[in-house]
Amino acid sequence: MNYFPDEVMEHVFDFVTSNRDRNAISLVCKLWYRIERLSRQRVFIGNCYAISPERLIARFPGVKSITLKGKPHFADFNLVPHDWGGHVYPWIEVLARSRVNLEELRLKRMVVTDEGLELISRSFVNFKSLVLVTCEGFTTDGLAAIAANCRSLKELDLQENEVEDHRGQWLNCFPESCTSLVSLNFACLKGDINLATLERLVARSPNLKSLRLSRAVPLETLQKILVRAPQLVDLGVGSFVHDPDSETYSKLLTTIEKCKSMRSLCGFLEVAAYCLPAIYPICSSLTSLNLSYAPGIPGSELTKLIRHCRKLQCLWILDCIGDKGLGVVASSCKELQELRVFPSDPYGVGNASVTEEGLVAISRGCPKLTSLLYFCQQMTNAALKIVAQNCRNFIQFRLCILDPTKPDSSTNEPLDEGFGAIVQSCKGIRRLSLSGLLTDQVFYYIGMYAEQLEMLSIAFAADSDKGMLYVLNGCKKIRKLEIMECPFGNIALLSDVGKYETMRSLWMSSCEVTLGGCKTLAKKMPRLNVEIFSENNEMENCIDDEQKVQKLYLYRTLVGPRKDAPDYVWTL
Amino acid sequence: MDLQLGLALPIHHPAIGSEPNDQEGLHKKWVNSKRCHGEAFGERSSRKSQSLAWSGRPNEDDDPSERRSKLSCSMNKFRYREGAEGDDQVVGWPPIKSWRKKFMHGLQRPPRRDLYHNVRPAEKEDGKPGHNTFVKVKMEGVAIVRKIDLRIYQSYNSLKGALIAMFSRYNRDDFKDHASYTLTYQDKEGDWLLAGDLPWLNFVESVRRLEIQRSRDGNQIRAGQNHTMSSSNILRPY
Repeated sequence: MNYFPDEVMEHVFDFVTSNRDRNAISLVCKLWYRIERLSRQRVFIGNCYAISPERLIARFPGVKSITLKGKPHFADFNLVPHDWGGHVYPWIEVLARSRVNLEELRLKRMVVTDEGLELISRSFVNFKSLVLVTCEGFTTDGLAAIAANCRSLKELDLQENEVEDHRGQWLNCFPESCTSLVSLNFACLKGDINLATLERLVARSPNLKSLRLSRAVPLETLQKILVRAPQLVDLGVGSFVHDPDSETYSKLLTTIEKCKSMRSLCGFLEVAAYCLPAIYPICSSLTSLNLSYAPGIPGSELTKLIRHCRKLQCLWILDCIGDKGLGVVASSCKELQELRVFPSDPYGVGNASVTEEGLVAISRGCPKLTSLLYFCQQMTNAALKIVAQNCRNFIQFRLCILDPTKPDSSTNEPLDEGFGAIVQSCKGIRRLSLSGLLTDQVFYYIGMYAEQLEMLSIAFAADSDKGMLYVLNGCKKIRKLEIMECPFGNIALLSDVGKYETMRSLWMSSCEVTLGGCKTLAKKMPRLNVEIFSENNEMENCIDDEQKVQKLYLYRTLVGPRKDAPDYVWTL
Repeated sequence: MDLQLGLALPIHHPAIGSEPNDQEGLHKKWVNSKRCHGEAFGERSSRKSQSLAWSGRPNEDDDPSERRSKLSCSMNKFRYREGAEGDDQVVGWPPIKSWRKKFMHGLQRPPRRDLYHNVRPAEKEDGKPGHNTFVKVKMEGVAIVRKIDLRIYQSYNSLKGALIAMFSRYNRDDFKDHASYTLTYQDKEGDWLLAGDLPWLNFVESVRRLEIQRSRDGNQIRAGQNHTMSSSNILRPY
C-alpha cells in the first residue's frame, strides 16, 4: 500500500493543515494513523469534556497548539448557571507535567485562573500565543505573569472576557527585552492603563500587526502609538474623543494618513461622532469594520463613513444605521461577505432598528454574502424569499427577531416558507438560527434541504415532536443542536439515540422532556454524558420520572462523567 | 389598551438606567412590544390564560395553535429572573452575548450632552455610587477650603482661571497669570498628581481633591510635595 518512507509521508501530510482532513487521513490505515498522529501539531477540541488531556498527549505527543472549548453556547445568554465547569487548569497541569512543548493555547468559554496563567508562563518555554474568548475567572495578575515570563510571546488576544482588573501594572511586566509581539488585544479590560508603558511597549515591537486598546486609552495616546506603529494592519480604538480644534487632533489626522497597511478597524468604545472623519483617509482600504461597540453614533454619520469603505468584506454594526443605512452599505460595499447587525436597544420599541427592508437591500447589493447575523424588529416571508434568491452562498444565516414569536409582519403567517426558501436555495448552509413564529413545517424543510447543516439554534418554535424528528432524521451532518422553549418531548429525544454519538452536543431547555426520558437515554448510551441541571435542587427532592427537565445538556465523550460537576448538575 | 401583565415582576428597563420618572412609560413601551401572539391578534382567551398560574408547560393535548399562543404568552411572563444587572428579563432572550449586554448597559446613562462641550453628569458605573463632581479645593496659604462643582468647567484652562479668580480675594498679589500657578489633584487611588495630562473628562472622573499653588521663583512645583507621594507620579507640569 505504501511505497514511500515515513519521512516522505510526513512531509506530504505537512501540507494538510485542516484538522478535518488530517482526521480523515488518520482513518486510512494504521500506518497513516501513526505517521499522522506523530506529526500532528494543532489539535482542536470542541468540548473539553469529550476527551482527557492524558489521552490527547498519548495520541499526539508532538502537539504544539491546542484549542479548547468549554461551556455550551447558550452559556453566552446566561442559560448556564455559574460554576458549571469548563476549567482549564487540569489541562494545563497535565500538559506541563508531560513536558508538552506548548506554543499556543486558544480557549473559548472556559474558566481560567491566575494560577493557570502563571503555570502556563512558567512551564512552556516556547509559549507564543494565548487567545481567550469569552472566558472568566482570572485577573490582571495572571496577565502580568504571562507578560513577565513568556519570553517569546507573540500573541495575547483577549476577546470579551470577564477579567477582574486589579489595576496593577501588568503592562509593565513585559520586560524591556520583549520585542516579539505581533498581536495584542486588551480591549475588554476595564481598568486604567499605564499609557507611557504602553507607548514604550509598542515602540519596541516592530512586528506588531494587531493592536486593540481598551477604553482607558485616550486619543492622545492613540496618536502617539500610531506614530510608532504605522505598520499596523488591525487596530481597535479605545477612546476617540477630542476637541476637533486641538493640536492632538490635527496631529492625528496626519498620523492616520501614514497608516497605509490598515485593513481592519474596530472598537471606538468611547467616541464622539464628529471625530470620525479623521479615519476617512484609511477607509478605502479597509476590509473589516466593527462599530458594534461604538455607542451613540447616529445613522447619518455611520453611512457617511461607510460610503468611503468600498472594499469592506466584513461589517459589524449597530441597528441605528437603519434600513436606509443598510441601503448605503448595499450600494457601497460590493465585496461584503459577512454582516452582523446588533440591536442598540434590545428591549425598546424599535426606533433605532432595522426591518426586512434593510436585509432585502443588502441581499440585492451584496451577492457575495456568506455570513449573516441580523437582529431586527420584524421579517416577512416575501423578504426572505428575495434574500434566498439573491444570495445563494450563505454558510451562516442567523436571524433574530426581537419578539421571538412574531409572525410575518405583513401576512401574519408563520415564517416557515421564508426560512424554507433560504435552506433550499443555500445548499452550503452550515449554521442556522431561527426566530419568529414557526411551526413544524420549517423543520420539515430544514430536514429535507439543509444537507450540510452542522449547527442549529431554535427557540419558541414548532408545534410538536415532529419538528425535532425532522431535523434529527434529515440533517446528516448536524453536530450541535440547541433548543429552548419548544414543545419537544421524550418521543423526539429517544427516537434515534445513536444519532447523538455522531454529534458534539445537544442542549434542550424549557422543553417537554422528562427525567424518565433522560434516564432512558443515559442508560442506552453509556458514551454520552447526560447532564441535567436543576436550579433549586428539585432533582434531589423529587425523583418523579414524570418531572419535566428544566435544562438538559448531553454530549459524547470518551472519558465518562466528569468529576468537577457542581451540585446542581446531575449526570445520569 | 392597558397591558399590565399581573404576574410579571416589576420591569426595570435596562436601556435607560435608573430614571424613576421614565419607569412607567418604559414599562408600557416594553410591554407593548412584548405582546404575546394571542393578544396581538385579538384572541381574548389567551389573555385570560395568563392569569392562570400554570406551571409553564403546555399540555400535550392542546391544539397546536393554542399551545403556540400560550407559549408566546409564556415568554412574556414566566422565566423571569434577576439578571446580573438586576434587570428582569426572559432568560436567554434576545440571544445577545452577556458581555455585550453588560458593555452596552454600562454605556446607557442619562442622556449626556455633547462630549466635548460638557462634562458628564454624575452617573452610576458598575453599581458603584455615582461619582460626586463636587471637589474640595485648597489654595496654598489660605485656611479656608472651598468646594466647587467640576461640571461647570470644560477644560483645565477654565478651571484654573476660575480657581485663581476665586482665591485672588484672599491674597494681595495680582497674579492672574496662569503660569504662576500650579494645579495638582488627588486621584481616586489617593495619589497626588499634576493636573493636565489626562483628557479633561478622564480627569473629572478621577479627581477627588484639588490644590492650587503658586510657583516660587519660577521653580515648578512637584505634585504632592505637601503630601505623601507615590514614586511614579512625576508628570510633566501643566
